[in-house]
Amino acid sequence: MALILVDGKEIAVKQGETVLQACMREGIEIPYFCYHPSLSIVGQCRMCLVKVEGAPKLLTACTTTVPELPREKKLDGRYDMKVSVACDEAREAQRGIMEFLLANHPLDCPVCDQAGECRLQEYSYDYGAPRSEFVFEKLHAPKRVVLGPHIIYDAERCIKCTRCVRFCQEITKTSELSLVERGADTIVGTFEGGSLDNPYSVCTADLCPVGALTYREFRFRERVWFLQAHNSVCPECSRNCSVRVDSYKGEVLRIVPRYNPSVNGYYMCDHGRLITERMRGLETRELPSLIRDGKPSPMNEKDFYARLVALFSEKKYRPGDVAVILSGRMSLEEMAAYKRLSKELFGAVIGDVLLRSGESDDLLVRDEKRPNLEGARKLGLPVSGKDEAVSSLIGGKKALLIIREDPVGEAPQEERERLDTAIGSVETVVVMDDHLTATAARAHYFVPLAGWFEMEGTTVNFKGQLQKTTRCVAPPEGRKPFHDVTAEFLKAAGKEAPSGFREWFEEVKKEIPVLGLVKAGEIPLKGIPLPERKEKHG
Amino acid sequence: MADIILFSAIKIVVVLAVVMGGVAYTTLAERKVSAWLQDRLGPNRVGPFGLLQPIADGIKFFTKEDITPGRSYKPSYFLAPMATLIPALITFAVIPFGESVSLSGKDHRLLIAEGTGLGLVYLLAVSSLGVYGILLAGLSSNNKYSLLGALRSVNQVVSYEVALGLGLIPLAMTAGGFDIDAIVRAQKGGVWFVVPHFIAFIILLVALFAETNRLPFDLPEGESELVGGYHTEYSGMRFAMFFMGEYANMITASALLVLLFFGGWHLPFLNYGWFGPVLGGILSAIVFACKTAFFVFFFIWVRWTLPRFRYDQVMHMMWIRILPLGLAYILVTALFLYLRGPIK
Amino acid sequence: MICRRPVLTIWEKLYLPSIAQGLMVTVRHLFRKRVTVQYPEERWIPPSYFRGAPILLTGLDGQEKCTSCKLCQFICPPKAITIKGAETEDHKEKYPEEFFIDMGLCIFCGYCQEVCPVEAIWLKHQYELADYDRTALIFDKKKLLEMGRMAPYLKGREKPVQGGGE
Repeated sequence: MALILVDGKEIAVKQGETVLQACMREGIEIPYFCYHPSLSIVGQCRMCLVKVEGAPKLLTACTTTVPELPREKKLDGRYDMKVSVACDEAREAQRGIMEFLLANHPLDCPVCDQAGECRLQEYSYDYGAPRSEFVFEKLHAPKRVVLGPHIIYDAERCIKCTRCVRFCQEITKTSELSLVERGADTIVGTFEGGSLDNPYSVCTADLCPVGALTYREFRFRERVWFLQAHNSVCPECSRNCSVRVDSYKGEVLRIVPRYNPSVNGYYMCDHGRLITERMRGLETRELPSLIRDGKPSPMNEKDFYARLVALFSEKKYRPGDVAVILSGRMSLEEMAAYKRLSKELFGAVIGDVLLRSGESDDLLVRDEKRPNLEGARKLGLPVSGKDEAVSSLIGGKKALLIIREDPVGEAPQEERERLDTAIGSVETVVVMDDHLTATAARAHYFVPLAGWFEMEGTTVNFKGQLQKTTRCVAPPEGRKPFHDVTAEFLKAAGKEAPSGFREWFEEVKKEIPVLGLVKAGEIPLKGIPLPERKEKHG
Repeated sequence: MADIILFSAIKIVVVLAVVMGGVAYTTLAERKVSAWLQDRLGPNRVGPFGLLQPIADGIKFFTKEDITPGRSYKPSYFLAPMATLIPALITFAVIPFGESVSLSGKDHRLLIAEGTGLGLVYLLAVSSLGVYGILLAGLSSNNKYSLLGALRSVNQVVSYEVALGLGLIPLAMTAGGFDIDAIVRAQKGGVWFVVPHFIAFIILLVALFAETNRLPFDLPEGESELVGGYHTEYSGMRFAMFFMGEYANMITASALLVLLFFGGWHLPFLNYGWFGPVLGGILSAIVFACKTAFFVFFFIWVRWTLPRFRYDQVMHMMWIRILPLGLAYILVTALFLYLRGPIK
Repeated sequence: MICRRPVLTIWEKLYLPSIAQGLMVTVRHLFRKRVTVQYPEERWIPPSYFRGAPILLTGLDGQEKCTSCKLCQFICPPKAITIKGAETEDHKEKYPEEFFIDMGLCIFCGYCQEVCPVEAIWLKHQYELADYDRTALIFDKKKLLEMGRMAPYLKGREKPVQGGGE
């Protein structure tokens, strides 16, 4: 352990830690562009220049590690290094660096999407000079370069910090990007004919401290200062990446990763971000409906639930007659609500959670493509096999209840028709989902549910980390999470039922006793790790 | 006898027509003069120079919805506008408006109620009746603003009735009777009473402003405090009757001032006898109308110049200032007349 | 604070001279020039600094100058401005696909004009904005640009506004 003195404050520095990291840890602000905790250190931007006593020149704080001096050589008998961050010399140097960085910057903040979350903007207020000595015409560089399917590059705004280059080399190890040309003409580019199309390419836009790399799908969509941020969880695989969902006027506009060392680190995959684009095409304005010939005819909510209750009490389905297909897209509360509902309706907990698997990689993407499969296992709901399991589940059943799954729409083309007729031949089909799916078109009853970003809920990832999603946008009129639908249903049947996320979370706590004293409103942003289950899941 | 009745009927019809027409055009004058005093143009859309505006107003009043507030006391609510307008109109019975006209050898006075000899007393009596309309309106409207307006009005009118009497008595003493004709006659050829009786003129002027509820004495309808005062709840033709009553009172007050202090229809160095019996009479009536019109203008002029009094100021002025002044002035006049001796 | 009332002489207490003075002041106005503008026949021409309805200006290339930076939308106190940005092949990269100003909400504060980095929005001469229909008060981009073309010359500029700009 070395001890350094930064502007009169003593900081203990660990072995290999740089001055910048030590200062950030202790809350001393040093401006920087190129440093990123998950990337290698290059000292590219020169913004973090600090004065080190005894050094002939200013040093970059991000690259300066602290050697432990022998006792007799310690400065003032104690310190291994004395650093000044706020001294005039360092400030003057930072001002000069800002001026160089802005020398050829187009200053097109009104058009630039980064405005509002731009390091260059912030530092220009905090460290920049009020005017520039560069009165000459600015150099022009390529603008609107399409680097990849989701990334557009503006070389004029680029400050060549190489974060994006290092990301591609070190994190994804695909090395699409590099600096090309020399001197003032340096730009970030791909190799001849190459394209930045790795599954994590949009992370480069997040890493870019200025507006040089922009995310094509969000480009010019909305200014960032209008956005409302919500902490949520990505539902695209069992990794459950912590994300920040930015919405405006009831529309989810952007999903960006939220730092969570125990789940996803700093990054998330492009597939998860593109939820916004996939959500855009969905028809979500459906009311509780009876389906006739694939077309919904909306009904009054109260009558609808009364009718459903009447149906189930009239037909008196025994557990063996009914197939229930549940989804890993349901939150823990919804699953707990289902268990309650199943006991009321059929006298036993029946139903299978569909396992949906797909590609995986060794960075973040997991093979299980549902967020809460681990949660289902924790609650003791059986997780079935793959797609072919669906038809075996349906075979010989009189009633079918499908929640948040679309077996028809997701089946391979050749199987689709078979599944379609199989479902069509069942006496009573009830589908609950957040949009009118291909399966819903075969149903007799359709109950619209609130979507993943439209409700509160908890979910458990493959490692057993419990996280909470928040309501990022309000669901359309008349659409509720499944646990509230259950409450409606039970009330229509004349039973008591908890209502709302908080009360249903109490139900979850009964199932998972480790949660113990955790309150629904006090789940930390990073989540709660649940202990490993004893038995192996199958 | 028949010709007297006929002539009386003609006089009543003509006077009523002139007064009602006068009222209509006084409203126009009010709006025009107020506009001019504020560098504006005033109504100028209906007819040439806006001259048909009163007719348009009349049509509007007649066709407007007549709103009766709930839980108002209906009989007096409906009676109140009439109780205001009628006294305002019947005061004209004792207002002489010109030199006598000789028709077929018979002298006819240009005065509806001939030969009463008690014109001033009648005037005082009838003008006090007008306050009942306001009182009824305020009490029966079921509106606190109306009630407050009516209270203020009654208090103010009753107080200034005293001032009215105090101003009139010296004139009656000088002229030797309560006949308005006699007062006019006393000014003929001589000095107008405004010169010797300037103090009485001021007292009477103030009293008449207060009696007619004109600014600076318009507390009963002070808009900033009481919305519309006693007529807040009235609309359409009922409101118009209050409105007309007020303007008729203003014309009466103007005519009275002309008669008592400005020589009535007389002009200095002018004898109506020169123009023959009929023409002289008509000419004198026109002169009288012109003088009255000036005072109507004066009323409007004052309204758009002075701000409203505070209520305590109104009462203070009457009971602390005008009352002693008026009484003293009666004494002085009496003393003067006693020393001068009886009129030859 | 105590306000001492001035001690008045008896002559002043009578108030009659003051009233007479007041009457003379008002009667003088009888002969002044009238200030009324006969509205439908005569139209008031506002001065160049007048803040009327906001307009959008076009640049020399005939395109709107607005780059859809939405600073006006952000600063607008009654939130009367709604802009939808989109990408364009032009040099400016971004342009307003839709630009709405709800004139029923606009309070004519001029913040949008002040904040605009490209001087695309100005509050100009137009003040006759009443309508029978609220939806007609929501001005779209086409209407705002049209109003910009109709606007008189900007103060201190030689060129007409539609040709103006840097």
